[in-house]
Amino acid sequence: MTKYEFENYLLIYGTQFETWPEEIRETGKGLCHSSPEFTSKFEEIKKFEKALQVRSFEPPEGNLSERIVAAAKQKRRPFSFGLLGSEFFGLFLSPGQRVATVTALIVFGFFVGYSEFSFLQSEEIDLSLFLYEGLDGSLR
Amino acid sequence: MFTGKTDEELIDLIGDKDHDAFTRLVRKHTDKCYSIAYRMVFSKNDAEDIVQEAFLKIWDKPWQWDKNKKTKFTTWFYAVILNLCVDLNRKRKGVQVYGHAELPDTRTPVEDLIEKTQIQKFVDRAIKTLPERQEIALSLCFYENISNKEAAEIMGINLKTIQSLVFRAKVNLREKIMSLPDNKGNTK
Repeated sequence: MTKYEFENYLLIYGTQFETWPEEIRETGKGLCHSSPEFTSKFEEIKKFEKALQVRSFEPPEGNLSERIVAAAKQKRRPFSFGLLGSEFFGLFLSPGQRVATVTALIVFGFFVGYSEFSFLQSEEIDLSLFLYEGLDGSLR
Repeated sequence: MFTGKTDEELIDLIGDKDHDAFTRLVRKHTDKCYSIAYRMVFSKNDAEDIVQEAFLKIWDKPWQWDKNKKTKFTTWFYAVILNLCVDLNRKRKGVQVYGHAELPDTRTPVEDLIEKTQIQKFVDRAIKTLPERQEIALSLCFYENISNKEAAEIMGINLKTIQSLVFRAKVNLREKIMSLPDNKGNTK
């Protein structure tokens, strides 16, 4: 591992060697104390990390988790058929399957609506039933 | 009652409108989620609002997290938090909360420069000048001690990319921060 690589790994993984990937961890640890060059680079990055930690942080006001829990308790889940349908589909199907099922239902609906299945067709009405034969033999 | 339950099991119970399970989930994850949100938005009130909004989304629609995708709940939820933070930051972009990071005026006495709050503000400003993705990667990997692998999953990128983002973020910051004088007038 070169000094350049050592520095890069320190920047990527940090100065805690436990966070380094296993394959380079021991090498990094060894280099850290192997020469003044590597040691000074390690110390430099450690100082930089310490400076970064100075960043501001304000803890939340009061008990945030209890406030969230209370807010949820006040909320009622709105009822809707869409919600019911989502919950029903969600029980059995993955999102991809839900889309496929809804698409299939829509296609089936169109198919039923525009198909020529005989049992779906309304009966044709024979208008001649409403006509009567006149004296001259013609239908009126 | 819920101490042995995994996040996935708690979400299932929340789907059955089990408020106690929801309480358990909230208590378990609030601190971490707040920390992530705060580091992105730099405002206690905004961070609290974001965390509350994210948890209430779970309460309303727990099925939004699809366990069939084999993503950990925390990976998914931290991404939700980050997206809310990014949305807020983009809305606020017109309002300069943090100006361009500049080195403190060197004519100011050294004693003034070393005040912790000034250094804090300087570090905060420097971080805010980072590109968005570098800022997120740094927050997750450095400040929240999330592994590079999980941080990559949260951001929806590969491992090499997250490592590159962390590296570039630190390189960008190192130059600015390490040139700040310490109380002996030496640069850090």
